Amino acid sequence: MRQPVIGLEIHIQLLTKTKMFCRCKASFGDEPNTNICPVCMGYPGALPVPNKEAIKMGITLGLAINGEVQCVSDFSRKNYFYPDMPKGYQITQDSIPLIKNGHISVSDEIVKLERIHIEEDSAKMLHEPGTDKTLINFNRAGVPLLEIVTLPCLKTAKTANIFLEKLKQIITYTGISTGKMEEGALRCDVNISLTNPDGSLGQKIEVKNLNSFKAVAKSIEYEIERQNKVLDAGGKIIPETRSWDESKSETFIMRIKDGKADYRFFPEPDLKSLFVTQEMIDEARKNMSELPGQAVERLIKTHNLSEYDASLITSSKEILHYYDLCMKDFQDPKLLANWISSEILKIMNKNNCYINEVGIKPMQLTELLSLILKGTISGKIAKDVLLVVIETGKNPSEIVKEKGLLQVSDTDSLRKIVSEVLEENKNELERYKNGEQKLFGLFMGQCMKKTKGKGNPKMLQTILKELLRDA
Amino acid sequence: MTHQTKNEIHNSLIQGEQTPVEIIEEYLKRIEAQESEMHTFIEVTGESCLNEAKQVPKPITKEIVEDTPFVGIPVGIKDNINVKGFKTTAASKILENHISVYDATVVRKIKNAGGLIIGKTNMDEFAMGSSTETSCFYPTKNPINTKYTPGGSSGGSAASVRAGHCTVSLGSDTGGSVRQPASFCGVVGIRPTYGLVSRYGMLSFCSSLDQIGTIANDVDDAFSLLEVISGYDPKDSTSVNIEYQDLKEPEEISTFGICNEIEKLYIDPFVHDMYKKVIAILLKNFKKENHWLDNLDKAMAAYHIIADSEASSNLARYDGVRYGLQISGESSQEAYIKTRTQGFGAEVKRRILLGTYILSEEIEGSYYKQALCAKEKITEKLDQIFSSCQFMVIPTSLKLPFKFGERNDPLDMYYSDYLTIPSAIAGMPSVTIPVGCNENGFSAGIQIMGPKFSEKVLHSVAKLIEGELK
Repeated sequence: MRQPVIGLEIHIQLLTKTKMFCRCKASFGDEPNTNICPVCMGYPGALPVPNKEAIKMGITLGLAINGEVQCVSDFSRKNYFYPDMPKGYQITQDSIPLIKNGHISVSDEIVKLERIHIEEDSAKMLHEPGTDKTLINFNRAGVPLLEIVTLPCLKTAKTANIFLEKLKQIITYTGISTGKMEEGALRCDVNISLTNPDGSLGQKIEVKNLNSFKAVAKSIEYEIERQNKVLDAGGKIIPETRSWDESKSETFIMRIKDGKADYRFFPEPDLKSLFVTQEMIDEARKNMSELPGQAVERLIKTHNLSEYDASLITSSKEILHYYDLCMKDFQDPKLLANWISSEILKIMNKNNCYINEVGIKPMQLTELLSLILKGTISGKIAKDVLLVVIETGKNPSEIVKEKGLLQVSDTDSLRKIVSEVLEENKNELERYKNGEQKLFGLFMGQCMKKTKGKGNPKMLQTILKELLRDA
Repeated sequence: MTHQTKNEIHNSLIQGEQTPVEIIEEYLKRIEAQESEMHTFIEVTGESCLNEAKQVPKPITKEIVEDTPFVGIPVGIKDNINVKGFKTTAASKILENHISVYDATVVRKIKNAGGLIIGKTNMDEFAMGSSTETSCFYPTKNPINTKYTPGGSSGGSAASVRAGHCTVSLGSDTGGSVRQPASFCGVVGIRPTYGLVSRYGMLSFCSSLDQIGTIANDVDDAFSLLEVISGYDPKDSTSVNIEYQDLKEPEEISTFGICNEIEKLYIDPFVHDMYKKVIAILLKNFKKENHWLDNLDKAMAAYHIIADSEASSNLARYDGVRYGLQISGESSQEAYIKTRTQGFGAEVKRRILLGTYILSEEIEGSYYKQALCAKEKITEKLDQIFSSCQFMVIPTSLKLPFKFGERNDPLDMYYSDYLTIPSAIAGMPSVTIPVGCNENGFSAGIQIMGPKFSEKVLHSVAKLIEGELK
């Protein structure tokens, strides 16, 4: 049985104000080619100056993944010609990266990291549709990146997927990157091979152009199957770079790696070695925000949530932040967690949006939940109110008042309604009396229908039991 | 030929004998008369220089000269240093029409010190050469005798000072490119300590060795200009955070060193005589020590390996995509090849190819690593020598100036830097001063070398020799 051996290379764009080696805005969504200067355009005579903020972020990630921050690391040049690379080389780190080793726990497994290093992003090339023209936007050229390289220690697509989720959690919790794959703030390349019958490593295939975690997982599954088929048929795996085709859900060959690309690495002579002091490490540790694991623990300990709920709430920093804001003036963490992990998540999935885009403010949600707790409305009505809040932006109490959705908790009115229901369902009442207990639900349903869902369900139940007993 | 110095010009201005505009007009007149033959500049920025001269405050006082030490002084800038609004070509076809979008830090400092930029001086293409013959435009003639080269790569900078086309100039020195042409043209040239002067805005050839240096008719002018341009620059990560207040402060000196190898080399007899003459002057004042530099040959080999490796990478940006010469092709690959084939000259291509090969995985960086090792060894040796003596004296060039076309073999040409490479590779400062005058009018350049940040010592010694020779 051949075992899959998977390694990941992840690039994340850092949320620094300025670029890695010049003080241009690191904001590439602006008008093309507006955030540029002689340095990031590779003009004659311009020299790089490292961005301290980016180095701090690198240290932060290093500490968050239990890596070893190197006191002295190098800057190197990776030489190659491409129109998106203004200087004809990329400044990166080669022989000594900023961070060595480290790991992230994924369920019961531990994914080991080889290194994390700093480098600069390339410009963005846009092939103008319908023409043979390529446009280059240099706003992205020189934006700081961290490259995270795992050891080839992953065995399944699922592990890769969870690892990426965890990594994304860490980088968003520490605030060093948005981690938004759809915006290119997180990019992942996969290296995958199958072991030979004797257990040694087989030939490695690199898969690129993966634009979602799902694509990463699917491409791994596809490659395992494809490589197995090739080998079963007596074929050979040739080292190559393949690309993921989302529409066909398959990988296709981009280029054959005939001989290793020669990047002619050498120490960047325009920069000194990168020195990290103990003070910088201490400061990064001091300023470290709560990490996902710590947040789970906090919710379990102080809010008494189940591990399941806690991990749902902490699955993204935005959701946790939303939850924490709600808890500022709300007393029932369990109810809140339930609502976020069911109703709110449902809307997020449906609209494919982030929690802050759902359309209900934390204060509005807690107001809504308080109405349930006070018995003003039922949970069922609350779900309807939630949709109205999202639609109109109005506050829940206002909606309840306007639409007359106040729960009916007046015994006399409810008793009248129950009597009417029993009157209208004489046949069923007979059958109930003859032992068909399950018809209780039918009566309840009719009652709720008659009150347009506004009847206090507990009271209705009590009254219904009472009248059935007496009937 | 008048050789006005900064002080002479300032005295004339302060006493009201001449106005700044008249000074510049005089220089421009001389340029007009001689430039068509000498080709010291790639571009003369006469109009802008005159306009700037009109803006100089009147009357010029001693206080103004103290605040802005180069007020009204015409300065030549080597064409591998950016001056905003003017072409910066590095004497290469690939940048033939490239206009600078920013001022190099040194240019900004010269402008702030009142200096008036009169032109961009000719040079070997991308500073690769020792005669200005690799310039894509034309070679510069040696003003002393136009059959001879002015040396290089800062040949235009040295010749323009000698010809009276500017009072002082900036050159760049990677292995000897300021000192060798200064010695050929009989003027003073300084290569400062690596990191003393910001490289921001100078086109990189070999980043780890490149330094901007100064050229002038006398020692004080060369050091005054160095004072203006030196100092830490946050835009250059390799610049050193050390600031000299006054490079011309006298220093206590007791011992100097000479290099034993000199007697074993074939040196032009006139150069040798002048070298002996300088030693005799020094002996009147200081104690002499004899030292072996060791590895002079290896220094030259290491220099070329390091310089070409870095050059192959530093010159990769000239690809025709964003600026400069652009020749289109069927693919970006083809456009690169066409642009770079037509844009670079033979010497530059030779070095790019050598550097690319040296860095290739095929030879696993073995040359490069060994070269770095040699660099370290040479530096250690010089450190050791300078722990016992305060400076060394050594000829600048083995030979006197050569004629155009005389050195056709690249290796022959590389030997021009034989004696200037050791201090360059060690990041140490060195100043060349002209000594004597032979029947052709040529002087011998004699170098004074010191340890890092010994510029004050070099000034004191150079001043002393200059005074004794008068």
